[in-house]
Amino acid sequence: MTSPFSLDPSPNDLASKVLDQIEETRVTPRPAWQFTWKNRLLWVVCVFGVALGAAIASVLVFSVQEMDWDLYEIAGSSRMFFFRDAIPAVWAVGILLAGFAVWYAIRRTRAGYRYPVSAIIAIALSGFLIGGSLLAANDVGRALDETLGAQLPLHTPIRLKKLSLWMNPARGLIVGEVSAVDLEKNAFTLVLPDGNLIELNSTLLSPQSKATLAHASAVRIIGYAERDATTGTARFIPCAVLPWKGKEYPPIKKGKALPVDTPGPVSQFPDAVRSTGCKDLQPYAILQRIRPNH
Amino acid sequence: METMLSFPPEAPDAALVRASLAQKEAFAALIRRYQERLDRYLRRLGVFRVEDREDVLQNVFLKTYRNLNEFDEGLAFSSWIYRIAHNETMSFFRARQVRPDGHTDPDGADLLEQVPGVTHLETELDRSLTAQTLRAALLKLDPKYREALVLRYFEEREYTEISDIMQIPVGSVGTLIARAKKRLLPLLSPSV
Repeated sequence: MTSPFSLDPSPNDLASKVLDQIEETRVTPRPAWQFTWKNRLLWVVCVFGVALGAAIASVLVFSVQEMDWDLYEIAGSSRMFFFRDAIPAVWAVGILLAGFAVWYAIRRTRAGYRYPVSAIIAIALSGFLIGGSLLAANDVGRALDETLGAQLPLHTPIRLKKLSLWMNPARGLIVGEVSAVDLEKNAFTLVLPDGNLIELNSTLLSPQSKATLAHASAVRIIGYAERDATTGTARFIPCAVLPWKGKEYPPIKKGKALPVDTPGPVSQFPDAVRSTGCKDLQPYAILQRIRPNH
Repeated sequence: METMLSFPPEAPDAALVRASLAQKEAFAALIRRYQERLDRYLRRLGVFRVEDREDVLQNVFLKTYRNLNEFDEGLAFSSWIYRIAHNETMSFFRARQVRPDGHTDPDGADLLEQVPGVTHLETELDRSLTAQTLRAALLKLDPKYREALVLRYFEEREYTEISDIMQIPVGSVGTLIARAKKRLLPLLSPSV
């Protein structure tokens, strides 16, 4: 009887058949380095996936930080749409892909099957969030949103999204950079995003808004348009001034000063926001409800 | 192939793997050690034709040999080779695009003998249960459930070993077995 621990020379024996096949097909064990490097490569993919996810998360963290979450109503948005605008879809898809890469790589490492999917997801998300917060704190989120983000299809950098939300004359909202303030004469000058200058009257502004004018460079203004009864020219009357939120303000092309009361963005105001005063202005009423001292 | 190599019966698998890497003839000892166990395992999974089992087994051992350097000594060799057998069997079922039908299964009595070991099932099973009933019920199960039951109750594997063989988290093994039992019980009732 053949010992189970010795080679049986019988040609019908399975061991002999397998060894013959190994001999005929010249099969050799794959070198150990192939398995080692495959495993290492998978971990590299995993680390790369976490780094990619963290970079994308930094853009999301930056985007969230840049928004005034309590003021979405003033911008005429709903909470859901405001969230959609703040969270760029293309980055959200990117973070899902990074998560998939991490899961796929870990599952295929030598012992990756031992980790439950929930643990992999939790680890990946923690890595994204911690890494993303650190990168965002070091301005990487903003840089990515501005540079790489500008190259991506279906993506608008957050500063331009904010500009489209707040530079909305039809709703009584304009943004600009304060270039001069003379509170004794109740006048201040604003550089609009297109580079034009506009002089505005601060008579109706609250002390809080006047303080904002004195200290902030970029501001958001809620107001209304009215037409001068004698000259017929349009004027923009500011009701409240809010500082521009976040680090980024849309670049302004400096232009020459425009005379007061000339048609500018004011001419874009529809009748709907033309009012006899701030009280009837919807965005202002909302602001009064949210931040009464304005 | 006239070389005769012999190893003590208690030689550990890892030592045989190292010997096989040095000299392919030593691999015969590993084949001998696992041939019968794997053949029984394949039959329990539903590969009933002898010729099919032989083909699958040959592929299993060839793949094992080809990937010997992948064997991690932190893992039981038996789990590792069972994993290869598991993968090969699933590939066999996929290639044939069939689910096993049991018409030629000679292992029914063997299966039935194992039933008392299944504490939960034992109380549920009718005493008149025949080997054929159990066999037919097992064969109606999804392969992953059947395999979980086979490994746990017929191969008597621990959860960690089943985890290594089926390449799923240990926590999922318990869930899989519990679901498998739940699905098996209605199939054992006489009305089914």
